[in-house]
Parts: sequence; structure tokens; C-alpha cells
Amino acid sequence: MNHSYFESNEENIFVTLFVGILDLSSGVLDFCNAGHNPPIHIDKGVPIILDTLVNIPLGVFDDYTYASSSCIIETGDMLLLYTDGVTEARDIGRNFYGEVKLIRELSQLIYTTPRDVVDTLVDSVAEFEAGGISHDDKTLMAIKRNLLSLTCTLRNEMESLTEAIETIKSLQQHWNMASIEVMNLRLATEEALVNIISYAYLPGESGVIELIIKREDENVVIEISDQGIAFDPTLWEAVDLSVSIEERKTGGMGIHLLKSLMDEVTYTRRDKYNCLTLKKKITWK
Amino acid sequence: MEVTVINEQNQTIAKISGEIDSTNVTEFEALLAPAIISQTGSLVLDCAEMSYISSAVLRVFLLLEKQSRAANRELIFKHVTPEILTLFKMTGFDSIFTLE
Repeated sequence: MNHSYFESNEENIFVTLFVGILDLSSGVLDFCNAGHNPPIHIDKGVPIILDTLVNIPLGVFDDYTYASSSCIIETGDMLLLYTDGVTEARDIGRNFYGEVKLIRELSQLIYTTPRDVVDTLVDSVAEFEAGGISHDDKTLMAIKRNLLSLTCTLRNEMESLTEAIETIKSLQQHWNMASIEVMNLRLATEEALVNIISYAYLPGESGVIELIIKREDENVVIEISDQGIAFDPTLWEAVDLSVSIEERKTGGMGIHLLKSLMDEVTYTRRDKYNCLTLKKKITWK
Repeated sequence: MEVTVINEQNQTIAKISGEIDSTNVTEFEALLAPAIISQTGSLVLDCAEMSYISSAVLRVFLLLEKQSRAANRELIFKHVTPEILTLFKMTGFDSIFTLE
């Protein structure tokens, strides 16, 4: 990149650049910083200036060897890239906006979307500059590594439900979901788990239930598997809602709710495993 | 989850708040018991603060409705949130229960 830019750089204008490649599955970010403002890594909600090897800007020397560095962006973490127009914005008293203020603003922005981060900072800088003169262009770019799936291994005990519930509730923050959508996923999963805990194993028999929650396009897909006796809840007779209260059975409501709340409920028996898949289309914010 | 029972002249009000699922439904039944046992007049379940229920709770409500009818006692659900009302509708309970 430096070479091709150098060739055409007749006016001796240097360019600062930050280039990175983020591996979405491992979170490894390999990057090279050519004289640019170091990005800010929001690490588990805490903004820190990314430790970079600083190279010279592009277009200075043709034969310069650029050194790269790497870091890990964990799921839920964010990376904020910006140009110096942001930190060098001045208020009416000619004070700089600065990295300190930038970090302070970011530390109040835990669990928000990249869009929120950029919008909030744009407003914050504009407010800071009010009355002063804006000199440089300002560019902000926020990247968040989303969690693609969550798993938990549960024992066939009612106490395990709490762990499953906490996992599903965390989706509201991880995936920025509406609380009603989270509630519906929680209820459907809970009903499926309660059935497994209550009936899949013999009394006193201990077993394991695997819970996997993932995003697939517009959908949230929840896979629940156990090694208990074969049971296909999708074949369960629908609850007759028309009968009088005296005839209404108290059982079967869980499965009825599960089917009503989800778009798709499929069951397969694989080897010695019961595999139940719940699918729900989500209106993502 | 909390249940506050208030005894008035002609009615007993049970204010239910929080989340109730299979892990705490037994505790919920125990907390609700004083509102049911040896009380007369109508029983009002104030659900304004009840934020989550699973089918285990729907089952408790259905049994309570059956019990109340057998005892000729009125059972009224008040201030049910739209989210929980949806669950009542899914299970047909909106036509069985008295909702206010």
C-alpha cells in the first residue's frame, strides 16, 4: 500500500492509516498502525487506548518496513477508530476535546450498539465545539464483535433452570433485543427444559442437557438436547381451548405455549439423543 | 417474587410482583395460601407488578379458578400486563378468568 501510494504521491502528502483484519471466529485482530491515532478498544465495557506499534505514515519513505501487531477482541467488545479531527476539536476557550474526554464519554456507554457510540460521540463533539470554529474533518467508526452463539451444559435438576434463564436474559444485552422477545424465548426454553427435567430421566437418574442459542440470519435458534427416553413434544396433542373449565386439563400447557410462542419447533431422535430445535424470527433493532 | 396479602371487608387482595417460574412456583403457592385459606368474599389478584409467569403458574391459576368456583367465591385478575395477557389468550384463559 505504501509503495503504490508513494509512486503517485507527487505532492508529498503523507497519509495516516490504521489497517486491520479481524477474524470473527477467534476475535484475533491483526493490525498495522501507520501514524494514525491509536483506536480505542472497549474491553468488557472499559475503554482503553489500543497498544500499537507506531509506524510512519504512508507516502514518506518508499522502502520503510511496516510492523504489525495483534490483539484479541472478545465477543461483546468494541473497537472505535477515529481521525484526529475528533480529539483536536476545540471549544470556545481553544481547549482540545482530547483523548481523556473521549474515554470518559465511552466509559458511560457500556452495552450499546456501534450506532449509539458514533451518534453519542458526534453529539458530544458538536456540543464541545459549539461557538468555536471547526477545523478538521471528523470520522468515527465503531465495530462490535457480536456473540454468535451461547451454550450451556445443564444437569437435569430444577436448579439448573436458573442458569439457563440467566443465559437467555443476557441476550438482551448481547444482541440488543427487545425485552418481550427475550421473555418469549425464555418462556419457550423454560417449558422445554422443565419437561426434560421432569420426565426424560428416571427418578434419581442424573443426566445432562445441552443448550445452544445462536443467531441464524433473522432468527434465534435454540437447540436443546438430552439423552433421556425418546419423547417428541411436537406430537403432543394440542390443548383443547374450547372445553369448559371443569374439563380443562392442567397438563400440556407448557408444550402448547412453546409451540404458540415459536415459529418452528422440530424434534429429531439422533442416536440416543433427543434434539429439540426452537426457531423464532426476531425484529432486530 | 413477592406476594402481599391484604384483607378487606368483602375481599382479599393479593398483590403479586416479580417473576414466577418452575423454580419458585412452590414458594409462590405457599405465599398465596393465606389469601385462599379460611377467607371469604372475593379474591383479587393484583398482577400489575407480575412481570413473568410460566405454564407452572398458569396451572396454579387454573386450579385456583376451579377451587374458587367450587367454593362459590369470585376470583378476579386485576391489572394484568399486556405481555401476560398474551399468554392468557394463547391458553384460552382470557375466556375462563375474570379480568379487570
